[in-house]
Amino acid sequence: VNIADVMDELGTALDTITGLRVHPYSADRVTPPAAMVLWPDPLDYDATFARGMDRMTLPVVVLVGRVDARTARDLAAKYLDGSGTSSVKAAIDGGTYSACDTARTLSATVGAYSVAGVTYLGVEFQVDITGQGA
Amino acid sequence: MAFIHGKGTVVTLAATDLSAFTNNVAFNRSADSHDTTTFGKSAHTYQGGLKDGTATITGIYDDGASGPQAIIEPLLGTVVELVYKPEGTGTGKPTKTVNVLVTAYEETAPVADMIAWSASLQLTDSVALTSQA
Repeated sequence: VNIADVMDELGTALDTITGLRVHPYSADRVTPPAAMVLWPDPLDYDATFARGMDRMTLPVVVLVGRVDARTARDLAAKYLDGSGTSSVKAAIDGGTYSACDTARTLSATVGAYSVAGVTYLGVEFQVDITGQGA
Repeated sequence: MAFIHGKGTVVTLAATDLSAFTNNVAFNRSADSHDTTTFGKSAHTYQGGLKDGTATITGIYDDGASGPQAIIEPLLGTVVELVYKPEGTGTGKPTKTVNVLVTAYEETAPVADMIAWSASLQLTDSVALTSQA
């Protein structure tokens, strides 16, 4: 598995959500609504013998706006939907991947995230990735 | 002498290398015990008998032509060769070769995880333990 390629493909999958600015890396400045694909936490090697399979959890953070804004809440709720055109899970789980075998959104946590000194309401999605080890 | 990690283990069934789809091998050997206790003894005595054994291979399902389902499921009820290299491939490393009866193949598909598989093997006849050249 090439991690950068996986992050790029997740970014491509997220690009199908209209209006979402996608950064397949940890951006130092964003304009919400924006998504960032972050480094794996953790990356687990050797899920099978002979470098057959590696597995990782990739965080995807979606920042929607001011923490105390009702519009930000409503937008976050759309991204949290399990299905629909704004659903992050639907976009990621339904993506096309060649850099890995599977990508599945496991869970999401809503919280406040600070980027470049600005605090945003955001959602952190945990994405389970499996792929060839060798 | 050194501890050996299991990540390099190689397992081949019916000449197909399943290592890349496998994450656990349980290779169990046993022997019959015969009670030879006679009058006058204050404890049981035993003698060894025929050897026996089983092996269980488990791993992650793969849909390829050389994946576990394609290879193992058709082997149910047949006797094939199992080659088990616990330390992996390399000069001087052990290889255990034995014929096995494939007695079970199981797939487990949990809603929140990868599909897993398991094969149960009954060892038949002796195990040949050799060092790799």
